[in-house]
Amino acid sequence: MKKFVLKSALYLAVVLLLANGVAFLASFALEKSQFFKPSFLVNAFEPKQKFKVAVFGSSRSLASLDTKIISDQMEGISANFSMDYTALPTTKLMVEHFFAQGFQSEYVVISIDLPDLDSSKTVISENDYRFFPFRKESYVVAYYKKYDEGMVKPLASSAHFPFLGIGYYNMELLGPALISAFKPEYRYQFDELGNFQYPDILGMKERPEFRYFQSALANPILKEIAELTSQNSSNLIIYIAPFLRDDIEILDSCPYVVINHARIINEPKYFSDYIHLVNSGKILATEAFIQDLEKLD
Amino acid sequence: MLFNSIEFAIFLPIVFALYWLFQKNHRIQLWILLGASYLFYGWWDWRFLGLIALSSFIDFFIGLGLGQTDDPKRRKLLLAASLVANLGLLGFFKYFNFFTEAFVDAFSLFGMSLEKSRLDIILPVGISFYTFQTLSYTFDVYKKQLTPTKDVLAFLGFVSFFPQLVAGPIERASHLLGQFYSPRKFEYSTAVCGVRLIVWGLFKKVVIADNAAILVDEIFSNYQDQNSLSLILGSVLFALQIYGDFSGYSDIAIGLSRMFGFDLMMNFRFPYLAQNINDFWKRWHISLSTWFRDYVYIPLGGSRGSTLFSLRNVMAIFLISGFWHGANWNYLVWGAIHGVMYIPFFINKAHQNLHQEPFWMKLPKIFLTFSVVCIAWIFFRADSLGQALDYLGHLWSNEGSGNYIFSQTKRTMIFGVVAIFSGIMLAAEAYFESRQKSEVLLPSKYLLLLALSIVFFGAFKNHESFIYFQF
Repeated sequence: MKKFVLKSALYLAVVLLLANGVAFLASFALEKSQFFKPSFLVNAFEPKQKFKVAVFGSSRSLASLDTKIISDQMEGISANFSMDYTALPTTKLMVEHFFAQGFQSEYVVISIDLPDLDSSKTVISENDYRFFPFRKESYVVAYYKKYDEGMVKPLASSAHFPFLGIGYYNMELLGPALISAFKPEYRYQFDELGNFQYPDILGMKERPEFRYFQSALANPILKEIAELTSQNSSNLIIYIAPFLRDDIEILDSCPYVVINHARIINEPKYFSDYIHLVNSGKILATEAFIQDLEKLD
Repeated sequence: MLFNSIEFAIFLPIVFALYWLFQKNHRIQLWILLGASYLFYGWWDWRFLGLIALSSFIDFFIGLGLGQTDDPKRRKLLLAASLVANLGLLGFFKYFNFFTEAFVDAFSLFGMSLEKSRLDIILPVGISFYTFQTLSYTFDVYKKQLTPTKDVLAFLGFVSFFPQLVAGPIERASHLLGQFYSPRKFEYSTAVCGVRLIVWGLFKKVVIADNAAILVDEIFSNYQDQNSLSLILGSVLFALQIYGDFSGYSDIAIGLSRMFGFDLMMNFRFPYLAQNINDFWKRWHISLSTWFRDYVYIPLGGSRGSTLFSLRNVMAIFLISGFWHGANWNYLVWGAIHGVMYIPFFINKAHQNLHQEPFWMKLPKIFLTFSVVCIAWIFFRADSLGQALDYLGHLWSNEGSGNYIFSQTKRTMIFGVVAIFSGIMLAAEAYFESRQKSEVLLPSKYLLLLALSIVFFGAFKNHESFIYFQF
């Protein structure tokens, strides 16, 4: 019995050791790469780079703002650090990451979506694992601790046992780690300024039923982002990207500078669905955004 | 409580330590096993603990009654009471809605319309398994092949033994019950053998079955848009999923039992290496097929009469076997397909001398058998008979243009993982079969690799229950 217990413990220890070893290597490869946005931010730009415009948000800001056009038309480098399948809590995490890694930006543009106007759900977003290489940074630790789910909390526990995060998100992390090990400059579906390269697809044909919302942007996460940008001498701009069926009226009590382009594009052909623009729509939205930003300048 | 859950990872070491701590007191060990088994079962839904206790006590007392009388009439009455009670419970929980609807549909054929009323019945996990296990006890006692037990603790432990409680192997009282009477000593080699089987079973479940499930679910949900290749892969993946899932569970159950000093019967013997359907049924869900052989087929007359009479019995067994899986027409059709494919080999006794050819010569037969099995699995997996036929229609016509697996890198990766590890699994099985073994018991260094592949390739995000729990 004693022999059985000791041998089982030994094998378990060896498995844990090897698993952690592999996880460390995978994490290291991802950390030194440009595969996902959090690592791209750290490795693709000069240390302490000052951006003209840094865009943060979800797939809607990826589909609406082209930072290549912004960089061409405004002085300085602009980049898009938005990630699809995320919500405002992840956006805030990316902003924290941005400043914690020593970067600065004249304008921090936060693209906000309908579900986050006044509050956000405390759930982990689909692509939050992309911060895995930075799991020991205090802001990532705090985020994973608050949002990670389940009994094991694989991402939160990864600070000490990285194999848990890699094991849980194996299909999402192992392949990219392998690619990153051989080609660290490879970026996952975005260009050198963080713009997602959407394929040219046909726009919508019909307009759906119209919906109308009002908000004072009371989400407390926005307040926290505002404090961060203020501490880092950046100008915070809240951006509402175009919708096909929704209009959002921002109430006067809103304390932020808002560029509200919810209804700026009305033709269905510029949308791939109700909330995302096609490439031609993206150019229109970016031009309009630059015009409004220049008015603020 | 699932074998592949955190709860079980906590539960097992505690029960294991407590159990062997009282190695010298066999009765305390039994109490610990019983308590652990009821906790394990109650974790799903504590309300059904009463059901399993009721089923156990009914057969325990009927067994005692059978032991006290030689009067044939009285014995038949007791057997009937056990059948009514056990099959009544099973019928109510599993088949009530099916028969109600079939009854209403039958009346509508004659122009009479009755209102369909369904009851929201929750199916108790593993009810088909433990019902058959307790019934086997009553049958054996009735046939005087087994002395009825007077040890209620051992009997309750036999019915609820947690490693095999919810998805088998369906044990016979003649094999398992006696093991509860005798004191058990910890044996290192048996326990190690158990751990090896557990790791192998977990690998099949978490790496192969759960990854395959991600693709299978989507392909079967959107089969109308898929092209033939995608639909073929869907059925092959389901074949791998259900095998990894069910045989994985059986391996874990057998391995766990060995850790506790018990020996369970074999449930799978490399079924996808079968060379015909007859051979397949000697390898797939052995505990159920032998149960039906011993308690239904032989009492029906088996093959003692004319060929036609034997074929009737064979077909009846396959239909009952299909119906055992669930109250759904597709299971019946699944059973019927296997029955029809079984008959030619049954007549020709084709299972004899199968293993004397070299492996490469067996391959075409293995491939052909696997293809037939995959087609039958479509009926098993589909939500309805209509959907299964429609799936096959789309597979044949190649109308859809989508290919779920190859349209996204991540899905292709998952497919790659399933394909590679299934290949490894089948190669290991072929190797062990060539050495006349019926289990895959890998050496320690391979177990380490297996454990690492579980950690890094297991579908933990797609944490699936075991398919056979629903039966």
